[in-house]
Amino acid sequence: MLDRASSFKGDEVVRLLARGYVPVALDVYYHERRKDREGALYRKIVQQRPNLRPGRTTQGFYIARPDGQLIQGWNNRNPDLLLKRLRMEAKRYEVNGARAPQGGTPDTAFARPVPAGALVADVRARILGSPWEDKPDPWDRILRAAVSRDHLWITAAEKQALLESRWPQTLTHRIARFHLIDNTRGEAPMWRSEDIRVAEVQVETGQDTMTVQGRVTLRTKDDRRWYEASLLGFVRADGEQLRRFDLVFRGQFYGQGRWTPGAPKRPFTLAVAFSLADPDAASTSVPPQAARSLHSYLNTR
Amino acid sequence: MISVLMVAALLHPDPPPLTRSEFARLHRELIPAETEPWERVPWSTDLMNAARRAERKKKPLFIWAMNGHPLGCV
Repeated sequence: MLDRASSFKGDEVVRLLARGYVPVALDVYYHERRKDREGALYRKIVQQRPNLRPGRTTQGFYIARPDGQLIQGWNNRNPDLLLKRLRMEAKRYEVNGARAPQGGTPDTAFARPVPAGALVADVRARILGSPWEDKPDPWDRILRAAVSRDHLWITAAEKQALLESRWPQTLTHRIARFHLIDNTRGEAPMWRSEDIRVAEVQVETGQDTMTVQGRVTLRTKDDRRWYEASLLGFVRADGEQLRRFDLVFRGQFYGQGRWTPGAPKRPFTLAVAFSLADPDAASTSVPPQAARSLHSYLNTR
Repeated sequence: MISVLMVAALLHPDPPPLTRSEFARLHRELIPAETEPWERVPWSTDLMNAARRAERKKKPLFIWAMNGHPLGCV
């Protein structure tokens, strides 16, 4: 996600957002669809944006009153524009008695709370080295150094297996299908079950840490995208708590997706790392990208 | 047959195993301990709660909306 690094750089932006605004971050996929007051408030705000064409993405930045009246709305990553508008609107915002909508029942079809008893792990991916042959423009330079972010849900049953020094096969498949992807340039295609050609994990139980080793071969039927990687990881339990879940996959990746153009033309090295998420961080509540298809995500074999 | 297998092995050799030092370096590189500036913003992920807080604190809402959650996806 490039906007994070490029748009929110500098202490002043952080200070303005923390002191002058109530900042909220949303996935438009859910908020464009939710049939509840949360979704209605989002749509009310974004539909006031000038020049927003019907059917086009509503992603962007919005400054609004709590009742949903739009003050500014734009979809431009320019950090100077963001800073200018944050300064201006914080200064001229008038308390006007605008009331936030109240009550309502959340639309459970699009609610994605962390499943009961589940653990959340951070997932980061990065292309290693400089495998591109062409010269980058400034935007490419940001893209090519990008580290992607996602979350892995470890279900209660899988957590229990790990506490008992067993590695669950369902976790291998969830990681392989939904997390071993090159999403460093945007929303990447995931793997089908039949794309998993090899997914082997061996564990060695030590005194307090389980060492996890393995390899995967993921390949689409038409051979246009593949990933062959090794795994090394360490899992440590302490009573009923999982204290460590650190994994790294590293291997050769080839191909790209519709929303992730600009991959190197030849196979390149992709690393994907996992680690338990901070349970107190707001971002930990964000569901895995693949949880849009919740049943597929949770019911791996 | 053997030559076909050899060509296949050359084209798609097993990925080399990761050493502990490679693991440590990559894990540190991809999941650094320090936070980036945007992570210090007190983001909410619930618009209704945020709107109620904005009303209480008499501040405007700032919404960052992306295809794929800005705090967690891609």
